[in-house]
Amino acid sequence: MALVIGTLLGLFCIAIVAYPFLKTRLGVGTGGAGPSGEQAVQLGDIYDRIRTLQLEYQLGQVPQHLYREQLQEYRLQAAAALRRQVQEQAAAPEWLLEQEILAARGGLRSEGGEAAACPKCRTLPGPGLKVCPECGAELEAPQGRG
Amino acid sequence: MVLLAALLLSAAAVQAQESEPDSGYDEEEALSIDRMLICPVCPAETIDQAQVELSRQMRRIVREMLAQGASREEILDFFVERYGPEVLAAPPRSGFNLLAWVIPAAGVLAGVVAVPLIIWSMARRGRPMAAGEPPLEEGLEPYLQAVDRDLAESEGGLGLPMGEEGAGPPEDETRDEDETKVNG
Amino acid sequence: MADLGAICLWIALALASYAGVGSVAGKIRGNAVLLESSRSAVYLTVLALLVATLSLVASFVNRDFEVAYVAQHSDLAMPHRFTWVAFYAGNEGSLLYIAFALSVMSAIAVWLAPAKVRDTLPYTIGVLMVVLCFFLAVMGFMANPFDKLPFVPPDGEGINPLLTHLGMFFHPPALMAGLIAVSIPFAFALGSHLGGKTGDEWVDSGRVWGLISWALLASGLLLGSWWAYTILGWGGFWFWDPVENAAFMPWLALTAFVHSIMVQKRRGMFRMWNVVLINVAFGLALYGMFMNRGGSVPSVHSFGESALGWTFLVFLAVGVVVPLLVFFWRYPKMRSAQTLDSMLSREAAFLVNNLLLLAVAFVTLWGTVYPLIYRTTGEEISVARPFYDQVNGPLLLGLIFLMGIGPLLPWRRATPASVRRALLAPALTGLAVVAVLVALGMREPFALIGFGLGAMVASGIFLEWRRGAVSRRRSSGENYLLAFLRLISANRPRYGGYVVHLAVVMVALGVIGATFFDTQKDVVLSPGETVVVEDYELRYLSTTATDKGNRTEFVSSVEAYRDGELLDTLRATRSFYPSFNMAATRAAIRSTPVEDLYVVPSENLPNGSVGLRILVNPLIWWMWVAGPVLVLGTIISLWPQAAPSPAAVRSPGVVHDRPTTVRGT
Repeated sequence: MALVIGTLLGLFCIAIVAYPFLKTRLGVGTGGAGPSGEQAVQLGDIYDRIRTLQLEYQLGQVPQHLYREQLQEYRLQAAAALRRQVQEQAAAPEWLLEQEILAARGGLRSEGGEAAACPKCRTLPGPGLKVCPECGAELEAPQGRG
Repeated sequence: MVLLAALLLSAAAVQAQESEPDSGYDEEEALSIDRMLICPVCPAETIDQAQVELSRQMRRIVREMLAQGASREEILDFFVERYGPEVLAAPPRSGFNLLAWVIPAAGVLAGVVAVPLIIWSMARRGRPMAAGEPPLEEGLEPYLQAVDRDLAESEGGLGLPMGEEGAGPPEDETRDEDETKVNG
Repeated sequence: MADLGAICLWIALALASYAGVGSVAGKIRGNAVLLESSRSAVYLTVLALLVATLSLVASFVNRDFEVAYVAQHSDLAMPHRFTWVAFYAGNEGSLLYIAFALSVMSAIAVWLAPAKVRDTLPYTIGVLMVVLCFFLAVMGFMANPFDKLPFVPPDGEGINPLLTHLGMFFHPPALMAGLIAVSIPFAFALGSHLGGKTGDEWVDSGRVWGLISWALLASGLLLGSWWAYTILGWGGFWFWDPVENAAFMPWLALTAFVHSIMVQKRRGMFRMWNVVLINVAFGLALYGMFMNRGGSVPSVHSFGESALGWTFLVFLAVGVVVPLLVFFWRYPKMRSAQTLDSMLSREAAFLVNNLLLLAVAFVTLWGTVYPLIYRTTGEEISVARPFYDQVNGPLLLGLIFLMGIGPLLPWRRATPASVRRALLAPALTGLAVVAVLVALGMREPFALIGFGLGAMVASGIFLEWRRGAVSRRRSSGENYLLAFLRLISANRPRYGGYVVHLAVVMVALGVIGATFFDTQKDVVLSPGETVVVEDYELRYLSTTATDKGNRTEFVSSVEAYRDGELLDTLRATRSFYPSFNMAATRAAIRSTPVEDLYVVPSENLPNGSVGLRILVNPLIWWMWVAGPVLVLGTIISLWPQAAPSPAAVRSPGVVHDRPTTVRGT
């Protein structure tokens, strides 16, 4: 009895582990690392810092002149991070290719090469998904262009 | 059941002994001495905790000696002679055992010296960076505008929209003046 | 069912080995398919170990005494609900529990790993699976919970009576899960360094899992103290006993870590330091598990003595040396992105906090190790409570002091004037409390300092809450409560931290109260006799003895009066277990926020009289209430918060139009 269940369980495990090898023919690439932010501060983190700075200012822990000075510094950092992010996005051919393939397979012809990408990892999910299949982030409903 | 009977009998014997000794001693002092002695038969418990026969006897001896006017040192020495130095809950501050006390103190002291040095050296390296404002790079302007728009829309430290200015005023404006005095 | 469990152990070992080797090989050779397959294997270890766990539970429930572990840790008289406790009452079962907990947490950590660490995740999986394989291999080859006896005994040996307590349902699992959970932040750090990412990529995952493990350890420690308080029958809650210390030290290192990781998150600083801290925490956690499984120092909690000691020692050495080597290998690449702006900043305060926490950990480690060193001289020495009280006491007070200052300092830089203003009110509150206590006649310097500092910390936190709520109310027009709640929700890590700080103050209150102001009295009373302890008058009524099969239970009833008024009838229990030749007590405690009245029988005499230990422990109630508060604070601080919306990235207007213009220029 135990042996039978054990064997079944073992076979099940082998099947699951082996599954990726079998489905490779179908051409589903596993997403490599996205554009990597090596040593670079993410935009969201800088916004988070601004927010904390603002709280400390409003609680009276940071005097105004320091607040102004640091806010300015963070704004510039944020702008630089935003530029880097935008440029990386434009300059990552692998990523673009992958997006196009995915878009094509999903029957999602993006208008003007643009579709609602996941806000977190920037993969293009299939249509009608509420959650990004790659990173699990919540997706927004496609916005009207504007 | 036989065991139980034996236990009760032995307990009765204990009770016969354990009539309160004359209270010519300070119970506070007795307790603090209890807490400095390890019960030799139970692992790592001091005699005020341990509920075994031996520790009961030891507690009794402590009180008897105190009532006879023995000092704390004399009592501790008595037990060390009887059970060896491991009966003391903390190593004595002498000889090789001084090491037990010196090493932690040295470690803490080293830290107390090292950390301000680290902070100081990090702070010194930091100064020039904080002083100068980074110049606005070429072509950064549109991004800066996007960032400002972002900040105006998103929630600030209080969880409220930041608004165009980026932040509301602090509680009282008067404090700004003394800030500038201090820093000026 | 036991056979199935044994099979599942081997399946899990195979899966874990495959997952570890596969993911590292897949990463090195760039084989994405292998990576995906190894990741599935990680998830499958949970399934395999779940089945193994269930089959051991089934063996307990079915009274399958052919299984040696079941026979050793249960008997026919044991109620089924204690199966949960019996499960980890011995080495083999607790190893299975640890392995199961590790596999579940690994799977969740891998599942939820953020995009930042995706690149080095295979190495992280590798590290986690090495740890898991170790536990599985130890079980498989040395301490298999499913080993069978050559015969089927009619009844088991029974569960250790000290373990049949409510606290035991939570204390060991929380502690063991906390100890093993340290592996997760450790694996994220080590994995990301193996993969060459020496920056801040691992920080978010490290912080979240560090906090989870921290909270688990903290609740485990508090529950353990509560268990000791109610059951060990001497009225104390903390021994500085080697096993307690072994769980306390990783907690200290983790406390330092969860603070200094915030510096790295906010400022990109302390990169090397955080890696060192998490390595230290992992080493200490391994040491903690080693102490529990056949450690060499005697202790009341070391319920298992086994030959596993050496195996654990070797693994401990590997677990300390390998991360150290990786650290030095990557050392040249780790440079902090920022430097300290000012000595008067939160960063600097965190550094001092780290120093004190590590000092306490160091002292504790030294106290645990010193007897072993001394033993080489051929003699024995004990290091127990007085040593730790004297050395760690002042350090812990210093930590409370810092807790009062740190949260009031801003990041980066404060001006002396703003600090003075922020500290003025809390400091005055603290001094006022000290003055009042002195006026009331309190003369104990340590206690006075402790209470004063506690008041300073608490008032500092409340004042800042008030300031924030007022500020928000002014802008939004909400009522104070709503403004306060929204404020918390907008700054979860910060305000969760404050709640935890309050919990720590509550623990300090209990510890100081019970340490300096307790009253203890040992008496022998015959029925009807009374004794006066402090302002309580206790009248012993009678003792009833009942035969409960595996034990004889003596319940002594004591009436407690104050000012001639009956407060409560306390029923303290002492049970004698013939098969263990030991007695277990259950104290009767009348608990109020002001003080506990604690009655525990130490002996039952044939003439119906009873030996009682009576204690009055002031303020200890606060210590147990602190537990839930602490967990609540951790949850607030961990509750995911939508990132402060970088709308620029989302909104098509900025990102998708901008590149063309940028490329054009």
